[in-house]
Amino acid sequence: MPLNVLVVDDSAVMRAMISRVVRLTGLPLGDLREAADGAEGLAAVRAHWIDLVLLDVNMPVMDGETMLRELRADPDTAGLPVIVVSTERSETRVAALEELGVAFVHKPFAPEELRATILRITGVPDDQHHAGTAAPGGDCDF
Amino acid sequence: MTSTTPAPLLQAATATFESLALLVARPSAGGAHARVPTPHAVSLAFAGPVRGRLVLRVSDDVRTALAGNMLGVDAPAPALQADALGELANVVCGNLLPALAGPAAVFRLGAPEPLAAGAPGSRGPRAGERRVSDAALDVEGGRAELAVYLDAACAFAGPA
Repeated sequence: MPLNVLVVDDSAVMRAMISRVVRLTGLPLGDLREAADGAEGLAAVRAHWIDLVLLDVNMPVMDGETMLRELRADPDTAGLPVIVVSTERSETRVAALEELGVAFVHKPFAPEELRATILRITGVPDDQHHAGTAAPGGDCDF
Repeated sequence: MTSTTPAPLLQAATATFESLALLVARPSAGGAHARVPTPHAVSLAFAGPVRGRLVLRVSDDVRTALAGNMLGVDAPAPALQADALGELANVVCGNLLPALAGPAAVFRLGAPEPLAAGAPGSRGPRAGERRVSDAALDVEGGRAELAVYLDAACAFAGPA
C-alpha cells in the first residue's frame, strides 16, 4: 500500500532536499505533502491520511516539539511514525523528543542515513540492499 | 570562559558546507582572496544559557552554489538562494552551540534574518554585543565569513 508522507520544515530548500530523498528511498509512495510549520503540519495531518511525518524542530508559528505533543495527545494520531530531522543536538532536548517515540536524524544528514531511517521506521524492506541476493526462484518479502 | 577559539566554529562551518551543500570549505589563507566581496548576510539569534547570534556572510558565487547544490538545479531563484543561506546558518549554529556550551545545554534558535549591506550588526557587533569567535573560509574560490556575537553580559561557562 502506498505511504503518504508529510515533510514539515520552515525552509523550502530543506523541504525539497528531504522530499527528494524520500522519492529516492524506493518507498511505495502515495502523496508527498509539505508544510512550513507545526500548525500547517497539524492541519495537514487532520485533513489527510498521513503514514509518516518528517519533522523539523525549530520553526516559527508552531515548533516541531509542540506539533509532536499535539499528535501524541490525539488518539487518532498518537501512533503516527515521526522522524525528527533537525539541527537539535542538545542531549536534554533529544532525550525529551525520543521519549515521545520518534526517530532522530541530525542535520546535516547524509541521504543514505535518512533513507535508512525511513525504511527502518516504516518497516519497508530495503529493495536495493536485497537486489541480487534473492535465491533463484525467489524468496518473498512481506 | 569569556571567549572561544575559532576551532568549533571552523569545524561546524566546514562540515556543514560539505555535508549540506557538497562545497569544500577551507580556512582562508588571506591575500587577494580576503578581498572577495561578501554581500549576502544572514543573522541567526539563539537563546539558552547564553544569548547571542551567528552571522554568516558569503560571496555571490557561494550563495548561488549553496542553493544550486542543495536543490540540484543550475539557476535557483533568489528567494531560494536566501532560504538556503539561512538554512546553512541554522545548521552551523545548531551544531556549534553544544560544542561551546556543552551537550546538555538547551537553546532556542530564531528564524534566519537577512541582513542588508550596511545594516547594523552586519559586519560587527551591535550595541550591547561582543564578538567571541569568527572565521573566514575559502569555499571553492568564493568566500564565507562567520562570526558569533554574545550579549555583552553573557559568558559561556564552558562545556558541562
